[in-house]
Amino acid sequence: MSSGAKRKTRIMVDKEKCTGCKACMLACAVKHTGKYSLSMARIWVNEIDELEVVPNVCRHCISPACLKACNAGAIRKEGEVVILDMKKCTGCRACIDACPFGAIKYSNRLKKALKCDLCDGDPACIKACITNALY
Amino acid sequence: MYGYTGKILVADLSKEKTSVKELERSRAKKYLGGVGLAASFIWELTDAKTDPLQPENPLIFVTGPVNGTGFPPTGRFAVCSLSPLTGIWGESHSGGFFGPMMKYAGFDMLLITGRSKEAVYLAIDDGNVELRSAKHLWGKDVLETTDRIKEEMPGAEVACIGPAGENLVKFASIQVCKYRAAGRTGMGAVMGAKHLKAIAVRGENEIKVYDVDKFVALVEEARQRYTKERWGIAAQESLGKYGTTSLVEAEQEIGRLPTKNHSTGIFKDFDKIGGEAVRKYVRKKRKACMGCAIQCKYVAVIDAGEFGGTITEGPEYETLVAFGSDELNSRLDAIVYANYLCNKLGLDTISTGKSIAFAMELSEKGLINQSIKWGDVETMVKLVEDIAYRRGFGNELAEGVRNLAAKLGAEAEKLAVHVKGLEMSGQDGRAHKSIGLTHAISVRGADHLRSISCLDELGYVDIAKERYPEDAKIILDLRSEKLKGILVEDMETNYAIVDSLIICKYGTMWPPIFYYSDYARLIYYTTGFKDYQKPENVRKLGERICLLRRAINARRGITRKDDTLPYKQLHEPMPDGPAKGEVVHLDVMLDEFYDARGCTRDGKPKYSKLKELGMKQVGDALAKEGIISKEH
Repeated sequence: MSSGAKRKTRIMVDKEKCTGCKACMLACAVKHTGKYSLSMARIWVNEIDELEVVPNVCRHCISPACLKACNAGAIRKEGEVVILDMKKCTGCRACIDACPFGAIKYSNRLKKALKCDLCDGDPACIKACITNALY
Repeated sequence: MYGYTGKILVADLSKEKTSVKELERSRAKKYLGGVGLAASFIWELTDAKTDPLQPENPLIFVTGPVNGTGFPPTGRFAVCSLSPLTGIWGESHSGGFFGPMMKYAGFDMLLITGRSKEAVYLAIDDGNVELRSAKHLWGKDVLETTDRIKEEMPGAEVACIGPAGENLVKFASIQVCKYRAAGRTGMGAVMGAKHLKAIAVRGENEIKVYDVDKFVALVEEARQRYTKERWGIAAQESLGKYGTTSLVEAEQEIGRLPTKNHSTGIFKDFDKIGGEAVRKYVRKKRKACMGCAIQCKYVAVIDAGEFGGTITEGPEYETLVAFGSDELNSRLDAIVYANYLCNKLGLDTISTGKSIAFAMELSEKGLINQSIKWGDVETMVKLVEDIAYRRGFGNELAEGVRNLAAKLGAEAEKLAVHVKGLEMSGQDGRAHKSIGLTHAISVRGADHLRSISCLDELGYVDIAKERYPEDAKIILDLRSEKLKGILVEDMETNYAIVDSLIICKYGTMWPPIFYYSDYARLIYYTTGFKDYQKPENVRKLGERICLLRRAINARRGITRKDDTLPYKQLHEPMPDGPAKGEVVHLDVMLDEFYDARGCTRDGKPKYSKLKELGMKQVGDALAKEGIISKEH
């Protein structure tokens, strides 16, 4: 992260600008796994119809429903960021059911939950978005 | 294997059998992927007599090592086969999201042979392959077929044919993500002949690249080049804002906007169908292929009038020409609707529009007993449907302009605008000499995308000076035949690599900001193939692919006489505009091109050149069949 850049505490979405290219998903996957896929992304681009495309990602809530729902102690707050500890996750899906935004997904491959961790305040998805739909 | 899944799916529809084959490392190294890889299989599995619509003709869906990674753009794939429209090498490309998903589903390539007794679709779900009944889908259009399959397989990407493919229309497309088309050379008819309605892919496979840190840095560098540097900023202003539609204005300016069945290059109503009109009246949202940093796609909506309520992606420049200027039609809403119909019914917009333009000229000249008037949108729309369903005169047009002209005789043949049976895309060699050569020598027929030079067309002076320091001035001269053989050979080599990686022509053609040294880094960081760290070896790869495609065509009887242009462009001077009085002098350009390409003056690969590129076996096979001599 460049010095002086402000650490992000949330990813903002302007869905009008989203073209549905999924560059954010690819950037997210490679950042977290070192490989390219859509399945390992922690941000999702949902195509509603021809004219509406909506990126969906964790809001890092002030009072996170997912944290309250997790019985494994896998979800914690670090300052303003909601972190999911993959090592502790048991794959019970309680957080997925609890999230009102559908911003946590279940990975069939890992048998665990996947959620945005804000890339240490410098999200890869924002850098990959050329239309500034993510900022 | 880095960059690849390492797996090929082999499906024999006659036997209802599928199996998985390893992608050999040596083959991947030699031909990389995409059209190169597909050509290596077409060469082995077909011969001079293979009938494109018979079960033994293989239909190949293929990706390259870059597809599914983060390189912008990553969303492409190609369909290759022998073409029922031209009878020779056929290839067709599409963007969207299908290509990467094919790799996430587990395969670099699908090799489909045979013919199913009943209609089927191929479902590939995270490595599991199933041939499912498509009886409920046969007869349905592309939009409904895609929706129905997505209900059965949520999250899948779908490639399918519409009624046109089922009815073996010679230029039927394969539609992807509904509105993207592998349009050219009738690949949809090959699919229809196999009774294969669709292919659906879905999966969670991950792609590993050889040097992930360097690769990620290269992706970032590419993104900067596409959006921030000089030509990137210009690309955002043109392709980003207008898609390809602003080419209408650009081509009118150089007198190269195909008008009235390619009679002239000037259309008086160009501003009614151009980029500005599209932006003002129909463009509603910008779209993109996967991972792209140019993002030239858009959604068009017709608000009111007889075509009100139409929603479709596109139309592209080519479609604006095919259903607009070339038919003397200045109604943008009708073009958008024709585009929508082609997407829905599974037709190539270029061949469909150009066939109708041909019919309009035949009617005007009294060579057919049909009344099809220039610019008559009602008839145009009806003909699109009649072609797809092979009704009435539409049944004649569905065979392509070459076949119809042959039936009607010499006068009609003078008006038929095609090369090797493929209807011509939206350029004219009289106003842009290098594109004349490009159309003539293209391995799939009258097509720009195998070797078009935008250096001269759009005036990239600095880039021309960089690539051809001594000769830039002559290279950039639009209306001179000089050195165009050298230029087109280089472009064909360049694009053969692009079509095998598979990346896009935007960034490599327009703007031309990636070249061999960039491909060298991209291939090496993706695959780890050490030889390709050297740009000269990358160039050799391109040459190999070009000559292998030419070998496939030579075996099917293609020689210099076929590397030609429509009568109009060779013998009828451009009637007006900046290129007034010009015709194409092809021979001098052809000689230069063949020499540079390593072909004999008759247009066939030289044995010595094949040997030099590591393709002695191909040379031996051609020599054995008496097609070439070992002396050359």
